[in-house]
Amino acid sequence: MALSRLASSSSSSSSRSADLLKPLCSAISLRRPISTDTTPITVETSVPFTSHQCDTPSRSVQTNAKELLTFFRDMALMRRMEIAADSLYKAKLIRGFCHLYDGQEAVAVGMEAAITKKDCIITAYRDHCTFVARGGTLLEVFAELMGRQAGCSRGKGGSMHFYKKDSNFYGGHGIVGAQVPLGCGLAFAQKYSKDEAVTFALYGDGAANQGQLFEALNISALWDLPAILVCENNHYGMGTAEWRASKSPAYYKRGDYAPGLKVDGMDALAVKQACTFAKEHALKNGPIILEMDTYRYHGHSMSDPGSTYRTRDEITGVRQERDPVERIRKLILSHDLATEKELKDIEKEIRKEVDDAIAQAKENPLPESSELFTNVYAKGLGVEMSFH
Amino acid sequence: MLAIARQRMLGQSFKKILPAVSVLRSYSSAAKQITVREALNSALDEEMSADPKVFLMGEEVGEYQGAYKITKGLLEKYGPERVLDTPITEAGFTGIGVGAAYCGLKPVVEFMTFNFSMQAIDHIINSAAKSNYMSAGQISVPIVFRGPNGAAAGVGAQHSQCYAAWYASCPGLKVLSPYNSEDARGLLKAAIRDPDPVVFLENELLYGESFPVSDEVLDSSFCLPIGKAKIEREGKDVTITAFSKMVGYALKVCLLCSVYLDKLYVSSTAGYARKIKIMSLLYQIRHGHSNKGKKVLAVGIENKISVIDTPLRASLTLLLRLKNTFEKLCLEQVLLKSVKEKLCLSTSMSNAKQNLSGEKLEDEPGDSGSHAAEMLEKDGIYAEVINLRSIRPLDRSTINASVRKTNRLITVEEGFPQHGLGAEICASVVEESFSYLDAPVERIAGADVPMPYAANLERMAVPQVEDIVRAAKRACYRSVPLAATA
Repeated sequence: MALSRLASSSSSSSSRSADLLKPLCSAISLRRPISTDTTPITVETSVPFTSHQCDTPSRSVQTNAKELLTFFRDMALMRRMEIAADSLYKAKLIRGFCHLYDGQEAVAVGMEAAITKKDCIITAYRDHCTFVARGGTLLEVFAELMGRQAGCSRGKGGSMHFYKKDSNFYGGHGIVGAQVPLGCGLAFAQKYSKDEAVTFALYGDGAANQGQLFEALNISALWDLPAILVCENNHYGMGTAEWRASKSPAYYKRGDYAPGLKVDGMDALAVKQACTFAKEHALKNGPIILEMDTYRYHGHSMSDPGSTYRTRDEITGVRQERDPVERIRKLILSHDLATEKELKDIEKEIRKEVDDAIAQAKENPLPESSELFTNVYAKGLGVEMSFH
Repeated sequence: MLAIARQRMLGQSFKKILPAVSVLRSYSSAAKQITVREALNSALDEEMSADPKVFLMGEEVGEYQGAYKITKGLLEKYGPERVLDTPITEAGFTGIGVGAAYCGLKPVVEFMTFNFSMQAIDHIINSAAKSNYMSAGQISVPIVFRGPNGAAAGVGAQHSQCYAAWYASCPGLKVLSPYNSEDARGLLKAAIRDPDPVVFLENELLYGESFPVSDEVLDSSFCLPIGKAKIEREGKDVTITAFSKMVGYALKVCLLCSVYLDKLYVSSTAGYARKIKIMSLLYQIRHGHSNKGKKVLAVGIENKISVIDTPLRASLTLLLRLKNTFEKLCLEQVLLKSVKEKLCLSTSMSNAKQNLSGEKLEDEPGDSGSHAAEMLEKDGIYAEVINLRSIRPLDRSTINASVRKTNRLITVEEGFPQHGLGAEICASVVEESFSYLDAPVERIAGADVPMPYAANLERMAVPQVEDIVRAAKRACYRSVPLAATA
């Protein structure tokens, strides 16, 4: 690693830290264990935060090698998973709806780093990666997408209905905007039970105009609920650009009386910082809105090519300038936390993991016919009979 | 019937009427009466006291003491953390309630009326009803949605709809509708304790009505099972299914039907051979129809008059069948045959009237109830009234068992007729008990119009007792043509 760095030092655009680390690296010939190193590293977020009715958190984020490598691994895994889902859909193994999250991984990963499993998350239908961030396995994802028994909802939910209650992940919701009042309800329960935890209710720029969102925000503010409303603004509500859908696309300001923060959603560290800030705020002062400025590479769903309402240049531009995985990769490389080869190996590992999970999911059987009538009620009565 | 005849009847058979009344109203020896409002309030109170996870949410449930005073006193007792006044935002607060239920709390969400539940219906159906299924059992939703449902008085089209059929069609929901105080207490407690989303349809006009309750009902552990209907009154001629307010109407119908007459005079101007036929028929009635132990005691022909001691029902069955010679409705094969005989009996009826008192008597104008009584006395129909209690799941086995006993069915509901409860019950009976039906199933429902405001139109738009009586008669005799439909 040291040699390669010396060789390429003239062409690298690495930060000062690379130069500082050079003598250290050359002094150590053994590979140091990189994945568990928790020496704090301070990184500046890509852009400063903008706020509405509150202070901004600092641009300097505390992180460490372990965290950065976890970010890289998780985001690369999510990226690979979504791309694989794309292929499976085209191969007709996934049916119905399939809304892919690639490009937005930083939001899921950064949020998870700021919170615990006691905090609740609820999101809309673009939920595969959020489910994985909460601890879901690849097998559960692919099996559910293909409607098999090993799926997280035993094949009965589908792409939009992933749940993981033991990690306080409440879905996966198909009706645009409905998850926001539900999320405020989760926050209500946390406050009622004195959990000292918060709920993150995620929604998109398309859902940001839903009336029920404002109804729920109003009640949350009146009752001081620990609810954090997170607008994942990928700038397109299906095929409608934000400027065509919202009179005011400054979603972090839409809370009016509720404070808001605008965050670079492609920067996992900025997301983490904002979520830490928001959690502290919500526990003391009630609801707050986070607007994550993010982007999705795929169309709205698999039936949308994603190019009728935006240019290919725009998509490639974002991929080049702001890709979240690439950002972390650069960060890792510039801080000498791993070599390019090591990162490539991680990606190879991930590819294999994903392929194995898909193969396993393909082998998995469809649900038993008797499952048609199970779980309609938590407490069935044996009175309703199936129609012959 | 006729005034004097009625008086005589009442005098003679008062003893028979009275037991009918008290049988309807008493459930045990205790005579405590409570209103439906008190029943609901006490049920909420007890369940909140027993389980700290239960909380109430809705418009005006707290400081206003409840829009209909159902939640009176609960804010003072449990505090503002458990009794929450919401802004007028059904979609928002219903979603919050469902979210709280996801997380393990037990909300009781009040809709001021179920008309406003339409603002929140996405949360009731998509967020609450379907979650347990979509998550394969991970996310259960122990929530209760309650409030007044159906028509009130003079509140107009937007405030009078009945939502029983809509909610009952959705798998994942349980839908309950109480009639009296016992139902209100037992079903609300069951709903709150149930781990699934329950839609609890009350009725504003019943809130103030008192019903007797036993000590068992007043006990805090009292609970009724979900999915079981109650046979409010046993009968043998026709089954009437109803829920909520319509149970009261159906029972009134029964009361009107259960009057006995001691004697009936039948005369016939037919020839001797035909008289013999009548005699044999009367003997067959004696053996075939013994209602409440009153058998045909004496049969004789004097000149042109036969004196029969018989339950009114049986004798009038005969009379009307002989009169309506081409009408079929008949339980026994023997009677069927004789119906084809043409015998003139109308004069005999009026002779009978004169013979009773020597005076010519006329029908009295009266309220529809007693007029219905008169009509039904003649017919002597003993209806079996089923109080559904549980709309979903529907107690199909009780309904079908009853229809297999009575062979006729009338369904009564206040809501719109198309795709209503009656349609479902009719289909269920046709599927499971078709060969037991002796008459087509009749549905009594609200008129197929938005609820009008004017008092006379409103009255026409909601089922009345006479409508049920007419249907009962049709089901038993088919002698009255169907009322014209719009």
